[in-house]
Amino acid sequence: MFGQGLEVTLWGLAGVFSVLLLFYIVVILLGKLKDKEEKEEA
Amino acid sequence: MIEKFNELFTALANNDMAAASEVGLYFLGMIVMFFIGGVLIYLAIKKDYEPALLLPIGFGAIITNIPLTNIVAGAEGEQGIFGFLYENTIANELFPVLIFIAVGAMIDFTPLFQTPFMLFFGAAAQFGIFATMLFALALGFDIAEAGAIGVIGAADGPTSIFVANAFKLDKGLVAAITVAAYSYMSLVPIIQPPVIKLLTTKEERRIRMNFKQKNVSKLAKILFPITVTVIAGMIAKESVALVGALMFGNLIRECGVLDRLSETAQKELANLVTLLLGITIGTTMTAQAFLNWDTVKIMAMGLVAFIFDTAGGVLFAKFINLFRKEKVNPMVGAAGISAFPMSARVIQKMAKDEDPMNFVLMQSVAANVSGQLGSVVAGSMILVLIGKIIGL
Repeated sequence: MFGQGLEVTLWGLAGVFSVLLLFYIVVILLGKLKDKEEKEEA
Repeated sequence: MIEKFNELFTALANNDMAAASEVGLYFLGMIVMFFIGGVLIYLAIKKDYEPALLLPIGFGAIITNIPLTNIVAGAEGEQGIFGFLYENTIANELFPVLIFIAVGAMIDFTPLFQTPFMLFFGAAAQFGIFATMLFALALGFDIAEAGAIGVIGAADGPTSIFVANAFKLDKGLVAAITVAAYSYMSLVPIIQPPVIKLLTTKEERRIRMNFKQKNVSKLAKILFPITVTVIAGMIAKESVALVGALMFGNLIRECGVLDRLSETAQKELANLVTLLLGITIGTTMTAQAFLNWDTVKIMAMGLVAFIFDTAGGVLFAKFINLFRKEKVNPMVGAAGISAFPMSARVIQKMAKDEDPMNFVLMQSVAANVSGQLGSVVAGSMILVLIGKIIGL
């Protein structure tokens, strides 16, 4: 049972970091979007 | 009540000590649960510890232990009003999902766009979930129970309830997990500072961080909840209910054309669901279901969860600092738990205590909202991985 727990821990943590890494990429990419007004100002 | 007294007097008159002690224990359990309910109400009113939840839970714990009450189930097994509410709002996971819509409508992800790196602290501070699960396994809980207990470390009541119900745990365990999750959430200002101080030096706590204010486009804020839901759902379909509800709430906040719905979600929906959620959970706290060693262990595990969450965030920040030129104040890592905005405020206060000119609030808030995402993702991971083991 403890072995299963360790497996869940390893995969679980890896999963959380991987998903948040994807969210990080999404945030970076979306952060580059500019509103129309900003574009016009630029 | 009178029937129970009659049972007691009859047993004593007949010198039937076994029956008398059984009825005596019944009354003792009732008194202890009245006391526990009273303590929760006291903490809510006097100490302001999550009053919106602890007060209804405490009152529910009292009314459900009034002898022979039929609020949960009648004498012949028929459903009482709170039994009906439990089965149709909590056991089927309706309330946790509705709460997530409300929470999503309350979250502003702007600080995250300004300091995206903080997202990783939202992942690191979920370490407590998995560490607690291992502790729970060592204490003899089975893998589903241990997983649900670990999710107390999500510092996020609805996720704890959602996972515990998905694993179809006993009502008593769900109640203990819920009480632990909400109680420790309110104790963040007491639990986090000593753990942070233990793991950091004064110099580390005084590290200043730069913050660059930048505009975040409305389009980005609208696309964010949609993209996050799709990505999370593609990776783990089990996460759609939780992440989807959270992000739906956020979308109605950010879209700019549903202000009334957004306000309703933040106020009326959140209040109504919280009110019914608290008292319904409270009514599951019968002496028979709640007064056992498992409850004591779960309460202890809750503390372990929050300690390891905090430690995970702080140690990850210290690890990152080994490679970064621009150092991160390790205290910010501790804000990666989901207790929003309490944890961010605690970190800012600690930073100010060390150096009155140190402002880490925006970074802490960014880590804190990341923690809300991280906790939902971690809860989903537990659902997926343990769900596979137990064949859910």
